[in-house]
Amino acid sequence: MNIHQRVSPFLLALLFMLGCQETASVNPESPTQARPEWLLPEIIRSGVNTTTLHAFHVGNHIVQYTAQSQGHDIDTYQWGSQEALWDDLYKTLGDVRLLEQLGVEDAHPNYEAIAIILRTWMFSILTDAYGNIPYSDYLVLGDSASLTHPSFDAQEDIYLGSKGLLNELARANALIKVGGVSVKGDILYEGDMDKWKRLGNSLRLRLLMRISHKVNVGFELQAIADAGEYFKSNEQQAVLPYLRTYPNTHPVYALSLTEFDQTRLSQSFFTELTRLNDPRLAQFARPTDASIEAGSIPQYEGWRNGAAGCDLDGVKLGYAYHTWPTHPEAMQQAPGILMTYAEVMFLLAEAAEQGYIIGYSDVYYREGIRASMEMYAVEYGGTFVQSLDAYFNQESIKLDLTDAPLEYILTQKWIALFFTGLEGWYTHRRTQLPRLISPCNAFHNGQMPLRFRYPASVAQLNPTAYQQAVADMGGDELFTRMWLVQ
Amino acid sequence: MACALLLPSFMLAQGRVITGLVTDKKSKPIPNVTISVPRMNIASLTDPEGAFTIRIPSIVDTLVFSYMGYETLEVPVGEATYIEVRLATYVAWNRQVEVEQTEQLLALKKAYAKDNWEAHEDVYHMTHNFMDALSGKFAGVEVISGNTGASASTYMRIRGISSFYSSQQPMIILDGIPIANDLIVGQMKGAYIDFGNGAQLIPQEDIERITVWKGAQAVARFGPRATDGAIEITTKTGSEAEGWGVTVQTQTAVDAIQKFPEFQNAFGLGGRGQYSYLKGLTVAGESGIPYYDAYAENWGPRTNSQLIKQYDSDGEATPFRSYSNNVRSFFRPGFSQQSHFALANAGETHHLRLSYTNLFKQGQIPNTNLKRHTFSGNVSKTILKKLSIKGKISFINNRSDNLPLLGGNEGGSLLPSLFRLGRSIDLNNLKNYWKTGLMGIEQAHTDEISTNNPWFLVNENTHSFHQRRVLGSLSAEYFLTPNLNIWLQSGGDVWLEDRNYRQAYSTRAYMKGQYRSDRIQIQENNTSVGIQYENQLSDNFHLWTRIGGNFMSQKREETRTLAPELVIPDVYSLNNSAAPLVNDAYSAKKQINSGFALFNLTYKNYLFLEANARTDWMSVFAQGNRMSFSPSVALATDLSQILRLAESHPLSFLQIRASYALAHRDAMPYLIGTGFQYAEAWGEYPALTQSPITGNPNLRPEQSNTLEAGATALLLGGRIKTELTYYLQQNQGLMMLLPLVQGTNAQWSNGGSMRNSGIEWMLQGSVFESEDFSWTLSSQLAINRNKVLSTSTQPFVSLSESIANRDLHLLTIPQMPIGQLAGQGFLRDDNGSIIHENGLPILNNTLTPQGSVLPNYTLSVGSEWRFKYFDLSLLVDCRIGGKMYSLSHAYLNSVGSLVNVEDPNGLDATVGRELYSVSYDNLGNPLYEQESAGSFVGSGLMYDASGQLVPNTIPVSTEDYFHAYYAYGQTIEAATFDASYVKVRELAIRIHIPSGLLAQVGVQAASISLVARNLFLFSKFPTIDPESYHIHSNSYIPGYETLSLPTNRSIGMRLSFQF
Repeated sequence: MNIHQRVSPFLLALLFMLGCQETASVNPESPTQARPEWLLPEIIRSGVNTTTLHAFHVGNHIVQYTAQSQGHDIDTYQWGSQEALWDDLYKTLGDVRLLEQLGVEDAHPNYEAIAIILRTWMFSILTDAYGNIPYSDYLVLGDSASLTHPSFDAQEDIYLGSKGLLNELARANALIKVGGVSVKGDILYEGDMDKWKRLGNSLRLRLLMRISHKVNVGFELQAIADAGEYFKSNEQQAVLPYLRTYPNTHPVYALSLTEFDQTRLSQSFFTELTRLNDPRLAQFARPTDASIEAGSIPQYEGWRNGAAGCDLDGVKLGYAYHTWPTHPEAMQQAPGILMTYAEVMFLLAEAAEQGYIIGYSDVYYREGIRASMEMYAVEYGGTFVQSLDAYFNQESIKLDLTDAPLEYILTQKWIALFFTGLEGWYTHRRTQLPRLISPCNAFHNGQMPLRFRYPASVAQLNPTAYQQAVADMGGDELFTRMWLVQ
Repeated sequence: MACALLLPSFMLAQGRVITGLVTDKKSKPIPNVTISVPRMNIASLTDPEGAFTIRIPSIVDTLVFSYMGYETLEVPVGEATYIEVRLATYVAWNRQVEVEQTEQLLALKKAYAKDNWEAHEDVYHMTHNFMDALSGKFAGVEVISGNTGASASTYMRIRGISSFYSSQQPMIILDGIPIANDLIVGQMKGAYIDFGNGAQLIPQEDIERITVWKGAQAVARFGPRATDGAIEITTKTGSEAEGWGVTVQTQTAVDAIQKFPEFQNAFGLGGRGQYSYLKGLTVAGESGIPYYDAYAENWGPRTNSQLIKQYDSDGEATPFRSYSNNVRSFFRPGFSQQSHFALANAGETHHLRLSYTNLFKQGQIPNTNLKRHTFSGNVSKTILKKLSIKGKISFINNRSDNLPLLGGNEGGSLLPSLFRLGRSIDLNNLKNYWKTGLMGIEQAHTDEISTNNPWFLVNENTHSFHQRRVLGSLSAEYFLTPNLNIWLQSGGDVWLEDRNYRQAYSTRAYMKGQYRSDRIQIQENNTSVGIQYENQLSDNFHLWTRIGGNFMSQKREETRTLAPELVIPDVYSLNNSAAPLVNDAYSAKKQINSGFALFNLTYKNYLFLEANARTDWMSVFAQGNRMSFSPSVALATDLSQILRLAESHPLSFLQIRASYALAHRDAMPYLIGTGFQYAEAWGEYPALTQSPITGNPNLRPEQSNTLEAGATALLLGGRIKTELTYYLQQNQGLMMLLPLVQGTNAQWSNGGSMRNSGIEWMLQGSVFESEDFSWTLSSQLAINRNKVLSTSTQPFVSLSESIANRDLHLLTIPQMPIGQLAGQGFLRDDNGSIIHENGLPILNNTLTPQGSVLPNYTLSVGSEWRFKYFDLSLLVDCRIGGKMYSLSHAYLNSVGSLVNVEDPNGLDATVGRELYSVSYDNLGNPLYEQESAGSFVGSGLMYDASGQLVPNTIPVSTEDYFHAYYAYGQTIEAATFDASYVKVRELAIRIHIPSGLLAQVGVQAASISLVARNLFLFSKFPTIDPESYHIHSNSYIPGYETLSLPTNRSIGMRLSFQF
């Protein structure tokens, strides 16, 4: 046998073996299929967590519910880029987009409608914060390739376009089949499609009022008011009841106690709640340590927003918002707020007051206050008013006695919007009510900024579209005027 | 034959001539045996009668005899001029043959960059990580040791960075078998634990030789995983033993802090110049009274012994003073003890080596350690002359009871607790870290909410691991004819590891405690088969060729189980979970099949051609993109032979060489398909979310083209050797992670290109030599220039995400070097002055690149003196240029703890502070009397009322200024500096005990050494040692320091005996 004969089979066998290989394109630990009911819990949880955390870190400080006792960048308007809001909501929107696609593919209009409502909610938060944002490219289902460099839509189109927020909400309203094929995985409403329909319409009210100073919205508002398919009680409102165990607790629980304790009740909020003898104060904040220890009548203090040295007094937030080392269980677990019944009432009160709809603003106004009091399960008495009636009987509450009814309505709305994402800021930007005091040592001559700057990464990753958006809006500054504030 | 008596023409002008005879065990002469001098590139061959002549420098006392099929033998020549050598049949196999053949048979056929380091020749310091010992030894090899605890990993970079993702590490090959060198970081809420890189556990005493392969030639040899170079380790085989030999070595070393932050001692705990203890719950004030008793910063009152109520004074006002040594005294001297025993035996047809190495290391952080036991066995046996079998196995038991949690998680990691510690706190008072009556439930600290008691952290929140590792291989080689042999080799690496993380009740970030249990399994198998042929084709041509294949399969599994809160305090068990357990599992498999062919032709011993071709099938890519073909070719010539230089010519030898190689890079598995991720269930509702990575089935291997040219010269009869290499490497189709859905989901694609070019220069020479005294010098210089050529359609690509809420990026910008450190900076005017508002610096809103993290060049200089029985060696290591961001510097300044006289920013935290004196009213409430208001005026500009830029004149408190300027590390520009340094890396003295004394007690050789590592550091970098890195998502991130530990100098004594 010569060498050649010895070697050839060996080489042939080698060649044969080289071709054999296992194939797997996805990690075997990862599911490759998703059903709508598996996507929905994370969509709702992450969406509400994002807005709740932004309420705590940003929104509550901007409209002076709370004040930062250390690190005063938000209070004093020294705002860096707000990347997390953008990143987190667009991440969740990726799942929402898939949910919608599955709803369409499975001919399950209720999932499709839920997806539309949730995405409209998230996109409205984004456009109100930044102005022009990538929008219409996300509405095209299927291939994601176009999303590598999405173009930015004008804010006016986002609101009013044929596929804009308002039309999409109307479409969702039409899609919903109450009593249709059941929806699972719905941690917000347990599959109750009537409530989803009401959420969609309530959001339409919110967005219509948002543009009411730009566009004639009376007809549509009236139509919604007449149909009556909006929140009619606290049971129908969109709040996520967090669970008691990790990781489904209120997201503020996960923060360190130091970070939580650095947040104090704002002087502005404290002053208003005290002026109104408002029992919600006892839920929003906890009394001073001194008054707790003394066992005396609970005392509260506010902290003037602004740089250190301005104040030293504010009390910490209520027991519902964290776990206290000295307090074994929170008295009441705070929920994650998407939209409340009280807000709807105040939207209608304002609409009626402005004459956009026919109705008694005072009725909506009082119901809004009642709903908020009920939601926070307030205890009347003590240093506060003795009853709800007593509250309504105060001159500072009575709408018919004032020549500034809008101020009364929007003050109450402001109180009711505590911890509701950035909604307090957006409402204040439109109405400039209630009048807030200028933060101590504020930048920009104490002017409240009108928007967030785009995240720095957007300019890098999607430069052409970014440059176009900046040109369209006239800049990317805190005071650049988006369509809503033009 | 014409080459019968091949006397190299570079025969040295000085030195002496040795002649001799080489035979086999049966006294038959062996022709063509290579006789060489280690590391000197001097060689000769035996003639058909086995006779040889070689001229060597007088300092040389050892010759190496090697021939294929026979064992390589090192022979001490002493004063001899004639020696006879008998070679035993060698167990030749695979790479061993390759190395021996290419290195020695053809003397100087080094057509590509490959550096050898003979471990046994160096006096070095054993560390827990053998890779540390490679720093400064090879041009173009950067070794960055971590400051991350007892099992610190070592980040290695060969010829800079060649991918957009910086953590690519060289491939590690142990005796021909690749081994895992993964970095598997213990990640916890923005903090990390460095459990050590996978390859660190090879005992240095087992290492015979380390070969570094650079550039694309490494891929040609070892396949697509060697794109960033390869470190080839050859362990000792016992072949050097005559009969039975025993080696015993032991080393004891102490680590002391080398660089430590300069803490200020003028101001203590508190804020705005004020502090009075109430309950430890007041971040600032309460009922209008400032207490700052849970502020955890050093902006408090002066430590001038004024009477203040303090956390430990039981409501009494006691002198407020500073404890200047409190943080430093927390660190204890590190201590390490290594012992090594080896037993070796060699006979006619076998050799054998068994060794045991024990490492015990006590970390500088109290209650941290590392314990390692390694058993290794090497055996080879020749059967029937034609067949030889070789086996090797190592069992390693590697564990630690506790390693520190590092990084910027204020609620759990160690350094924030120390950096925020009041200068007015006596750390010894905190040693009883439980509250009375609440042992196991509530820690005692200076405040109740901000940071943790450091003693509590190190003693209760332990992070332990236990790794068991088996590395083994078996190979057989069979000679079909004397010129043709086949080999089969199979080897495996099995890594099993358990990790346990404990967080006690009342840990600030985990108030109800936490327990986590991780399990890691990594298995890799490599099997290679091949055939090789070698022959002297004619008088002028010699051919060596091999064809073979390698099959690699790898499996990784990780499971993590978390008990997020505990029911019973102080019981660490998954059964004790107060909430549903959170599980996370990961598993990955990949395969690489390779076929390769090598062709090596030599003409007249001065012209060398080597061609390599390999094809790799990589399972991580989709069918159709899997196969890559990587050819390479190298050419070298010995000019001194061609030019026929006279023996007396000062240039004794000159080789020039050039090579070209195309290589392909492997990738992580599962980048081509899209899956879903489990999110935590909501009660009984399962939850999924889309994977953050969207699959790209079109992904292809990255490609690199490398051109290399170089020259090696021996001067003055071999007294001076110098080598110069130039390389140009262009990488294409570089993988980029691009966000697909804006801001979130991302996809890998082949979108970038980059160029690395550089020069490596090596010089070694003998300055002086005589019988009793010699002095040699060596130096390595490496200059690497990196340039990103293109990045898809994007101008920038973020190379890593933000770390611990600090938006710090490494940007990839076309036409600039990779790794541009960027982040929040200051608004400046055209002249670079910072613009202020309200007396505070204004931040800009762009990511301003601060420069690349890559150094301009690295240089090392080594020197060795030998005098009779004494050896002295010194190695100095420099790194010049490159940027580094230090979170430590920013953090310590933000909390007012530093004095920082030499701060490059020119800011002093001890001037301009608000000053108060503290007294108490009759209710016991503090009264503060202001002595001076904040008077810190930042240097720079401000806008006046008319909008003109004028010098800033507005005084603010130092605290406000520092909070705004450093912002706890978020203003990246404020803490980014030039990372240049010079280090005295090694200093060692070895005393050989004269053999006359030893023979009486049966000892063959013995030595005693004093060794020091990292003895001195010279750097302008403030606060920290700039030789540092960050680890995140199982990657090394260069240019970031994120609250790592102070670096050490290490001094030890080593004893070595051979019986």
